[in-house]
Amino acid sequence: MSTITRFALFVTGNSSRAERTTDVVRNTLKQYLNGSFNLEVIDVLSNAASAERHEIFATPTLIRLGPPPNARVIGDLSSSGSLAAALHLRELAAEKS
Amino acid sequence: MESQKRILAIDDEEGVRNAFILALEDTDYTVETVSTGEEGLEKAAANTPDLVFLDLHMPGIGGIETLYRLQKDWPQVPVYIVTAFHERYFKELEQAVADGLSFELIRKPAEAELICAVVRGTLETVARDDTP
Repeated sequence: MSTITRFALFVTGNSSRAERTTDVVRNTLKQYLNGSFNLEVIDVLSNAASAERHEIFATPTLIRLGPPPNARVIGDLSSSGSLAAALHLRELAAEKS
Repeated sequence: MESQKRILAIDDEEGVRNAFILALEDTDYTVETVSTGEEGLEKAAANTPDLVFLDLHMPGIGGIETLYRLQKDWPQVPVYIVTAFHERYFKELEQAVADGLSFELIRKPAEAELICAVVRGTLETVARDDTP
């Protein structure tokens, strides 16, 4: 049975910068996980409580919520390779193949 | 190569300004700090920074007005607003977003490890964006 891996991306507002970050993250997840992921994009400005609950200290922040290992990337979300390493996407892709 | 990238920290609290200096003292980045928005704008006019950390609440023109002026004159310079993560502060920033301003957030007080991660990430991103 295929497991959906859950991610949360915390951004500031709906600026072009935030949209670019979201695109890079979504495309990277698609590249490694095909459709077996769920990405929730959260605007910190309108969801302060969610940012507090997830202990967000800066934007942009991407969190792998589960299944484990949990991981987070802060600041630089523009490189697919770095994202894949930090979020253990290659291992996930290998498990699914 | 990330030599001599310039970071400008604008905050009226000396402890916060020192935190940025200490966090980045062993890096190749040049860090300048000032205590008001007016001084920050003067610094930016004299020598455009590569990244700005900006306090939200300061005496004088304040963080929001400083943000507007920074993005009007230097729209390419990324700005991190240094603030507590609280709804009442975010309300002020939502208007700035609605007005088309682009910025990121870093929670106050920011620890050295977080400052370094944000600086590296942002400046390396800018470098990649500039690559033809």
